[in-house]
Amino acid sequence: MVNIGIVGSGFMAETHTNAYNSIDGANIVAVASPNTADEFIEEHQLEADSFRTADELLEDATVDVIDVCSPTPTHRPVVETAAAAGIDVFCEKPVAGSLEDAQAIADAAADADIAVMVGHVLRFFPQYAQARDVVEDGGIGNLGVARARRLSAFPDWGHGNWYADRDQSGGVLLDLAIHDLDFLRWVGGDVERVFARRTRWDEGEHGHVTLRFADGAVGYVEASWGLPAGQELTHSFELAGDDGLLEFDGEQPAMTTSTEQGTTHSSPLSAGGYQRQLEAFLESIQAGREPPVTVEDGIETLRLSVAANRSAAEGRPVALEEVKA
Amino acid sequence: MTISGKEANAGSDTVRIGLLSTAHLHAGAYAGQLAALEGATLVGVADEDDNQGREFAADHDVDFLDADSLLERADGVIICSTNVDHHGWATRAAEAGVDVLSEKPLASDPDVAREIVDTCTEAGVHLGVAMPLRFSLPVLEAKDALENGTIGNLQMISGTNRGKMPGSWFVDPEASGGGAVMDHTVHIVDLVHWLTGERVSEVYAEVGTHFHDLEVEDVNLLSMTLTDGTQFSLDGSWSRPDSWDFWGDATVSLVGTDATVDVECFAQKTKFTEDGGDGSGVQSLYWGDDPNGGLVADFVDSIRNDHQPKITGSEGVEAVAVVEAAYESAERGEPVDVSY
Repeated sequence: MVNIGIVGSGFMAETHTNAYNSIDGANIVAVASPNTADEFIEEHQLEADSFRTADELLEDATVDVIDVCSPTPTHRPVVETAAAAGIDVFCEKPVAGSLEDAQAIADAAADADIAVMVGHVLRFFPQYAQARDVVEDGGIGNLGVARARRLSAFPDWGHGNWYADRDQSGGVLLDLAIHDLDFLRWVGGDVERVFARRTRWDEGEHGHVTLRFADGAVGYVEASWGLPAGQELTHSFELAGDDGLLEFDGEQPAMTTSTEQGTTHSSPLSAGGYQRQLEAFLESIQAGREPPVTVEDGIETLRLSVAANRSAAEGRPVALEEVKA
Repeated sequence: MTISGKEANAGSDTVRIGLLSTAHLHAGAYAGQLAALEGATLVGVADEDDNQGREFAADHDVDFLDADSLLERADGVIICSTNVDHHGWATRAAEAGVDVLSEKPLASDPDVAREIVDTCTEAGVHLGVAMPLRFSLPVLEAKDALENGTIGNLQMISGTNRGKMPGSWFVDPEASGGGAVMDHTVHIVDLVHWLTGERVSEVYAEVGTHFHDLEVEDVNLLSMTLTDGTQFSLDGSWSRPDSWDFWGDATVSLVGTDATVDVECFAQKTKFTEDGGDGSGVQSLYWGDDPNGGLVADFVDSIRNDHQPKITGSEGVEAVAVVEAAYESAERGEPVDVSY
């Protein structure tokens, strides 16, 4: 049995709670959120204590791990508090909103000798993991062009609409594109430079990033918070090599139900990406191993997002060596 | 003064088209469209390569002629030569007073492309450029969505025009002027110019040679802005494996404040698996309307009714200017303003 304290009560806290419910031995015992912890506990029928802050949670609850699902700027103080208490941490992506905060998290974790895993969940989605395996096995030869797109409606579900405050969320290139930037880095290795553009409008933002990998291959990541409200997230990727091509063109429904009211689709899995990710985290903690996605991984990927935002702001390609914590 | 073929045919119902060179793969497609089009006829083929021309003429049951004879016989010609030969063929056609439809890109260099436009203007012949995607029915629906306000304010266009490595003269820089950037930039750029009424203003290019051992680039990834600030990305790489199920793709995704519209010009396909011993495997067969049909019909109509073809030479020059800026960006490693 692993006792878990969740920090946050928004969309990601809900996603993680649903995933933990499917994991044997995962037990949510505490939830911390400034105003809505009680509501969250009731809604999800948890036998958990409620707290206003992570500090209070760590002081009063007995937890084995802290799962940080709160807004990005809170990651650093929460992880620092957990480190001071010697508690291992799962931290949602991005690891932090700035490289300074990310480095502070890494330092705190190292000083306290706690494990920290960062939620780059695509590595646990079966289609992404499988594609990476095929590339690693030489299935497409040498990578030439890697592409990934991720389009969403504006994330108006954040508490106090915090995603709209770019100082907090970093905008679409930091918050959303980071998923695919991590995937491309995982597949294609070190990146030498990026070039990016972004456009912001009322309740919308859209950006794209070109990448030049150290080995000369080229990447493209596009991310949107500009789909019409209510539209579901779409995602796709493509890995083209000199000896093969992998294409994932969005979720293909495995089950379709059509009625007078309309059509619904599903693509069922025994364990989805979030569940696989959290299982891998808990297993690594219990085995005393390094988590499969480390703070260092999170920092390396964050550098890509920071470089992309800098490129978009300055209208020039940005070399990764310019972007350091 | 000699009477040009065009004048001699005045009043006749049938528009007579000739093919100048068959170096480009599309020559066969145009011959097919002409055979199917009422009121037009393919009157012959000339070629810089006798064997190539004779073989094509035999395959399509048309006359193989020397260029002067063909230009006397034709009201209009479609130039299907290598990129660098467009200029020479267009000049000969203009001198003979024959209207021209040129394969794209109009030339490999914007100055040469401009010269073609000037030569045709001075000779009083029409000049069109083969950008068939403007006749793609899904694209026409997207244009409606832009014009009737469905999309709201356009913010981003994400395009692809990938293909297989075409080989032959396409990969010989002396004949093509460049690789994937030269080959697979202008279709979508022209389409976006036409759809939006804007022009590409700035280009950043990541190019390279990764899929094949070539003298030219096969990776072509462009990040652009339009004159109104809209973002525009284009992947025009030769990144499809030789054994892919289709020749390539042509897509544009439009993201606006009110809607997104995704166009895949060649989505209408049937999967075809051949159980051959050679393992040829899976192909996709396109069954939608062929945009080349609209292109050829427009050219024929422009001759019959004496108007500009839909894609003008000047628009062809603008697309080539973006290509030039892309190469300059790749060379300098920074975004480059397009000069028109």
